Amino acid sequence: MSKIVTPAIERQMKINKRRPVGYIASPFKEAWRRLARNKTAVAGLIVIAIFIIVAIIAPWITKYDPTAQDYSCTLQPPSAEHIFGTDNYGRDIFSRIVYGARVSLPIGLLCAICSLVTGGVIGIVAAYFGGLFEDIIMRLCDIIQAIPPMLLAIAVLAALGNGIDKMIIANTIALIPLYARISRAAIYTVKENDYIEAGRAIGAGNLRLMFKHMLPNALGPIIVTTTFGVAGCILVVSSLSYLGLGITAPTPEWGSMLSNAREFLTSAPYYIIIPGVMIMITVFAINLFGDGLRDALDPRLK
Amino acid sequence: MEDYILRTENLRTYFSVPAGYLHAVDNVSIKIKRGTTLGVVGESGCGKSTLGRTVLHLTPVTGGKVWYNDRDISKLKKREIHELRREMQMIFQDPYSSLNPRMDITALIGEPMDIYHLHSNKKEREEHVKELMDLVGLAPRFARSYPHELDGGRRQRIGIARALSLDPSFIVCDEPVSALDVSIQAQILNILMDIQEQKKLTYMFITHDLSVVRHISDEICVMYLGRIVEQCEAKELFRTPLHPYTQALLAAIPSPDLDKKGELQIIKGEVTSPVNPPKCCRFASRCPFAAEKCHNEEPSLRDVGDSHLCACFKVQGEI
Amino acid sequence: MGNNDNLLELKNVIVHYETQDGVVEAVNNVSFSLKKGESLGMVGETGAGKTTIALTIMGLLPKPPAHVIRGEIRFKGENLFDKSVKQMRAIRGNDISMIFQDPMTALNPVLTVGDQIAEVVRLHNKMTKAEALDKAKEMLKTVGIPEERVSDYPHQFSGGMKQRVVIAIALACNPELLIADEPTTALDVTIQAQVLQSIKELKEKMGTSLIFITHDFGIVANICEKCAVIYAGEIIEMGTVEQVFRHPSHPYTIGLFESIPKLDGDEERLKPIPGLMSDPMDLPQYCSFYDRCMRRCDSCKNGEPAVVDLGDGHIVKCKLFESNGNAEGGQE
Repeated sequence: MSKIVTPAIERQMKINKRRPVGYIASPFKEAWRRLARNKTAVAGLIVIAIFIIVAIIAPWITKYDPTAQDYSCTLQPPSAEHIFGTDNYGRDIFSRIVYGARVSLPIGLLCAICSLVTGGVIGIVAAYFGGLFEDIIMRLCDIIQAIPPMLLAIAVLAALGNGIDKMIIANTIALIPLYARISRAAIYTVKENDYIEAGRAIGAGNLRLMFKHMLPNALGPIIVTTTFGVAGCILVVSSLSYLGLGITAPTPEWGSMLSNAREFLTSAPYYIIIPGVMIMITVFAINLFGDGLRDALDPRLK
Repeated sequence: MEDYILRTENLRTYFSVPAGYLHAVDNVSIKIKRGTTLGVVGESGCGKSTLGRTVLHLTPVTGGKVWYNDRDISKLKKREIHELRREMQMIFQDPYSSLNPRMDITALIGEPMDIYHLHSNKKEREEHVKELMDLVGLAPRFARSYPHELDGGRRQRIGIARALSLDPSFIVCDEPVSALDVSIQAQILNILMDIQEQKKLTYMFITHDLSVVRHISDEICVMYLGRIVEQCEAKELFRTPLHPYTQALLAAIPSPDLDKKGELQIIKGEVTSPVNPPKCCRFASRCPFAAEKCHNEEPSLRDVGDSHLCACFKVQGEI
Repeated sequence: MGNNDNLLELKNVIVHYETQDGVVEAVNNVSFSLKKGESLGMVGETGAGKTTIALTIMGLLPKPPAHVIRGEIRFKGENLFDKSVKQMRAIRGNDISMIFQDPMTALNPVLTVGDQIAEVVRLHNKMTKAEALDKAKEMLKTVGIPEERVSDYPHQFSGGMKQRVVIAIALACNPELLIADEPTTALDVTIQAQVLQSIKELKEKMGTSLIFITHDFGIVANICEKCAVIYAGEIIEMGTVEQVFRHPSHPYTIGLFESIPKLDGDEERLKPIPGLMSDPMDLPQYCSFYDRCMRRCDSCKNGEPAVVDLGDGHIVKCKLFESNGNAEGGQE
């Protein structure tokens, strides 16, 4: 009796023919393959990619200067001339949206990265050493987290004054406790693993144990929180701009555009809808991508 | 005078738990001759792993003394412990969890060399890694593989190569074959014995499996609840087990030999708690021979002839 | 051999796992039968497919990825693959029970052990809660746990006691077949001896048939009458314990016996089986043990070996015995 060949085996044999003998996918390729299979995550990734490309090639795809005012055509509804219409100063909304992506996206990213690095290190060190040191750090985080992030950011901006740099600082401070908490929890799940003790047995020092043995294995949840963090930051920046804090006119920024459009809610609804929808799409896309990334990085969900 | 590489005297390791102190290792005195293997057997929770870890300074010493090459190492500074690690290494039980899954084989085996700056250039390091892979029987094509792509036997070979990379003279093997299948287990045991001969290593071999420990050890000590209850030369222990616990342990192993099968001998009860143990023989509550004295006094480990040590009043002729 | 004596009969069962990385050929053409009251020990290494065979009989295969490609499982003459989900649920726990390897995770930590035993009893019998609890007390007594402990929670029991509670649950409905999947691997030897003793006594008292999955030949010798050696999803040798242990015939079985460190005897080195089990995602078209076999010859590469009966039901799947049927090892 010879071996049973099912359709699934035939398919596999075709794949095996394409791959060299002894083919082993690296963990990164493996994760990428799983991500690529997740349709919603890929959709999110494509949207994010389009936004980034648009932001980069902004000068070539816009007809108008985003800050150029033209009082001859204010509050024009979308037309062939101005596809997204114009605002109350006669500025082209499409140009402002496109240039706005150059502000909103990097700010979101930068805030997330800054808070990730500081919060992450604090969390890892706290989890590694434990004891009183950890208690003090975590109680400090509790205190900061007790204040709503919006309120905290407003307070910091009020103290430091307006500006993109200050906006990033404010956001970072508000987010540090979140990252500290997440990375502390992530380190805790790997801290008791045998390979940490094995590392100690071969004489590895604290830094090596923390950043070479613990961090790479705890990276999954941290990366995912970061993607959600980017989305959160864009929202906070937009909200602050909406309140008139942070980004100052005439810099195009999606949140401040929303804020300006408030007065024309009834007369020119497109003016408020377009930046609103843009923020929504971006946050949605990043969240989808983050969701997919979490699954892709978890080898158990094969 | 005998040449002992490692000696402990009344070594104690206690852990603080809510209910008091957990006596993981309690007044253990062992001596290991250079180039030999001391087997440490016992059931889970008897403190055998803690003993190994304490000797290596992975768990702090609560009391007592440890000598390595006649140097007291029970109270060392961080720097000195770091230097000592070059000579004392450990092979871990579970090759699935004791290797960092994000590092490939070359990185895993090479890491100890990096920590101690063994090699000044990459080529030397690469050569050394290759040499070690060859020694433990790992084909060169696995150099860039990750642990999760390999089976248990190959993973344990990585663990052995890693422990050997600093050229130590003493290795604690903590159940190195317990997670492996019998056919693979035999491969790994043979490798460990070959390497011992080649490099004149001294092993402390911790296991719960009596047949494995018999095979690899020169001397065996049996632990029960943190104490050594019997210690002697390996063959002697199997020929004339004296302590009732050792006898029970041997009788409980189901034998694949049909002629020796018969009812398994069963000792009643389970291991009692190692937290705040009472001052009496720790096996008394399960012992079929327990007399009143056993419940009131603690027997000490004494030579009962031919350097066969046993901690039992009955064997010592006191009851 | 009349079909009617057989409580359980597997015929050419093939099970594949179809995963993203390929097809795992977990169970390949497995056939065996078990009479009422008989006990079969299934021995094999990690990944040999022992647990998959057990799950297939229980109807608990995770589908997908698992697919039953072919074969039938007859339990009391009826094919289990034809049963509906609901019918299988009625059979599980009542007619066929299973004990899993890890007693620590098999019990629900928020229910008392009495409730957990009573739950199984009430699922399969019309009984009041009080009656079911009485039955639970009785079952605890049978496995050697004082009945006062019926209202204790799992964490109040030690490992060996927990495994006995699991056995009590499995036997509560007087099943005709008990499948034990490495029930003592997580336990210490002295505790293992206690649990094995309980299983042995209960089996004799209740007349339950038993399939005992393990990697330890010693356990099989102690509690089973028949023994099947599994390699790469196939039964490569099967017979009574006497036949297999006194006259191991397949080179793999012989190799396994030789690689066990003995408690007596003076061998200096162990004789391991070289190499590793072949990848179940890429099994060869010929004997799957070929690469590791000490007695292989050229003819071994010509297709799969046939199942040869060496006499009195001692079967072996190896080319060495194909040509000379009863010549080697046949005379007992």
